[in-house]
Amino acid sequence: MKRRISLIATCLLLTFMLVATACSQSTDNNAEGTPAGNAGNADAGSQEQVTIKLFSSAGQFTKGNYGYTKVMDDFMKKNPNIKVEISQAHGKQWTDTFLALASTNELPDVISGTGITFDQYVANKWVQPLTGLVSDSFLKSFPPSAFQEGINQVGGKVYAIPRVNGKTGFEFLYNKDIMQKAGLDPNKPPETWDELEQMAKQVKEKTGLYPLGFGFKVKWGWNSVIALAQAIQPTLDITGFDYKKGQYDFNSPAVIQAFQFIQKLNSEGLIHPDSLTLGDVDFEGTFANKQVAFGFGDAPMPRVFKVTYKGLKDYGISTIPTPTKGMKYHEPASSAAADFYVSATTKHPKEAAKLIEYLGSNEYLTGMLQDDLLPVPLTSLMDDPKNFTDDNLKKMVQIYKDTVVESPNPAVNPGAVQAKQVEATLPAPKPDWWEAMQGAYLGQIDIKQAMTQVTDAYNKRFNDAIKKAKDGGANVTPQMFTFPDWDGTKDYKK
Amino acid sequence: MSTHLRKQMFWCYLFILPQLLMFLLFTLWPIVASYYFAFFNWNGIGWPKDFVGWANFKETLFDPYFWNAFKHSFIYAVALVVIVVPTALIVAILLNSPRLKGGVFFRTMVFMPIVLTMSIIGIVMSNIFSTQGFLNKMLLTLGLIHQPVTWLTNGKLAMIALIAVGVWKGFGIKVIYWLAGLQTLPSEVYEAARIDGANRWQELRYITIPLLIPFFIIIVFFQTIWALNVFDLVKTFTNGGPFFATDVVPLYIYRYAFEIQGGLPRMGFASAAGIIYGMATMIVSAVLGTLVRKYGGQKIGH
Repeated sequence: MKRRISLIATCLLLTFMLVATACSQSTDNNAEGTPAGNAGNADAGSQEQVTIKLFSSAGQFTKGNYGYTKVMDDFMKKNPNIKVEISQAHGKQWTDTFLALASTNELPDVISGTGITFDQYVANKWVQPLTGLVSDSFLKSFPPSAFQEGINQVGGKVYAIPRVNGKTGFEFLYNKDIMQKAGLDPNKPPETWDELEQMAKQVKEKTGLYPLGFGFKVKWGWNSVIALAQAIQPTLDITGFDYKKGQYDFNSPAVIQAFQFIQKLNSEGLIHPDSLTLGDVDFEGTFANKQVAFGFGDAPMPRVFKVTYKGLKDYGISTIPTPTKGMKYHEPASSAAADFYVSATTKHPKEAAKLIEYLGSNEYLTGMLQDDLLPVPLTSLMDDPKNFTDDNLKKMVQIYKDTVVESPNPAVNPGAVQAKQVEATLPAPKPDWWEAMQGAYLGQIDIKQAMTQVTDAYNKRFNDAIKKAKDGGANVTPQMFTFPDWDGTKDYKK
Repeated sequence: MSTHLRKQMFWCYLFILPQLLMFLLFTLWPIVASYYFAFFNWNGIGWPKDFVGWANFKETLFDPYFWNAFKHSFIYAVALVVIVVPTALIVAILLNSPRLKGGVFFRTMVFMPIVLTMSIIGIVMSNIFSTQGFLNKMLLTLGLIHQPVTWLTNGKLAMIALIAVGVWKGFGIKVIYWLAGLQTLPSEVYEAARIDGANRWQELRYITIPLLIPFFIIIVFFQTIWALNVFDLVKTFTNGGPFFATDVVPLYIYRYAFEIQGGLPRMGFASAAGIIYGMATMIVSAVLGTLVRKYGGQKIGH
């Protein structure tokens, strides 16, 4: 009997130890990547202290980077009762983690990630309005155009604040030293497609390098084709939606022409053959490590080249080349952007709102512009030349001022917001537009046929969403998305 | 039942219990649940509500990209079986030879890839196979090629590269299986054959290979199932590209279950695809299982 009891006791003890080990393991995992280790211990020290979690896809919040350091060193000092745990993941990893957290109802208090669209955040009730949580004076510190229906507010209620200036786009990148080695003037980047082709040939001939690189493994890389097409079709936005036509237009002559230009460069051996296996981050590394002379980039480039590739200076930024000389490049974008949200399930909305107010403060954004080299949403800061400490950032912002125009916003109609939310929940066509471009680039499918199929599928999805929203009681028509009088060369005004 | 037997049974069940619970929770429940989820339009968040009947199954069956992935899964599996199983046998026979010097060293060399994590292999190999990677540099240095080979950006070459890495990774364990088989063969049969004047080739042809048939069936079974379920290597090595040229069904399922496809993930659709693929692999398993039952237990005799 005694032996049996002792055996059972041993088994129970072993089970307990196993469970205890598992629990301690899970606590360790939770603490991983957090600034001050175990949150539970910190809370135990002070009963009034509140721990909030920020989960961001921005490199700015990687340990040691600007955002991380400011929150840790400045915000937490100023708010000793708030402990912030920051986690950061890039791109798809962020999205996958976010979805896993959403599925287990463990959303972080403050969310910052563009892998999920604004419509998806709102439609799935993952976030709550900031109006009422943050002060009115804080929201008024942003220019009025920073908040727009369907982009970061619904029914007049603001759901997110912008981190980076929304009115940004694409730019052309060139390595000055490679151009010099190739006998090209490093201060005269290509302005037209022909010039780009000729310069690329010269780079290849004189340096033996592949002149152009792209991140064609992911959609981001294929946005370059849309960017090139926008020179001809400025009413086309980066999602492939044409505001003038009020529908998706991936098979427009402009897109096909831009794609065929890229294909021509490829057939001439002017594009790095690894481009199809490079993602956005890989492309940045390829460009920064001087493996290619030219490429296309977006707003975070000056920051990436300063922070991630320390010392990369001999590169330049210019406007996207146009098909012919004298053409003025334009691309549409909205001044509003959605970056920081408070989750709908947070237990500490006030503290989360406080952090949001800090991340949108003049002080934080000034440092972000000066040190972290990102264009900020406050025009007062952007208009002050003193805030530009980097020539390439200055150049990039000037390019955006010259080329990016305010796009129309169909979401001023509440019905259109509902339709966009429905559309966000519908599956994308298979293959997606950029995957079809991959196939055509490899010569496996015909670009015109593939893009027509993709466009038809996108427009069917769009019309289905309108119909579904209508059936649900929304007042929405396809005309709400059509702006026939807008030519894409000037800011859209109501 | 005697007290002793009851006591024994109690302890047996007690020790089986944790494994059983794990099995129910992490194997049986997901399988059962996926049959339920497959009938819903569900993104994996909350509990499914939007019942869609057989729509997910129909969509899977009419999706050319599913069949594209399906074809690649079977090409990969067949290629691995055809290449790995016989070559691993040859290497095992060589390693089993008492005349081979440094056998332990060679066995370690062959076994090495087994201990490496598949995802790490995928990442490392994607660098090795890149146009400016080690493989191209080596081939250029040796003068075997004049231009870098686009291993990963050409659909056919990417599949060949994937199969090559799969072969390399799976080779060692098959050699171990064959070695285990070879070491069970009775020496007296060989002695008798030698007395009868059989040469090495005749020993191999008429003794070794026939006696190894039970092992052959089991190795083919393991290799096929392992290859049909390949995921981590493809995910990290080619991610199914370029343009779905190396897409396999487990990766296809993963994409719909956990990734954003324009809208949110489609766990219901992924479940339907998983069930269809599960049935296909079950048929293969059943056929191979029948062969295992028929020949796997065959005694060495005559």
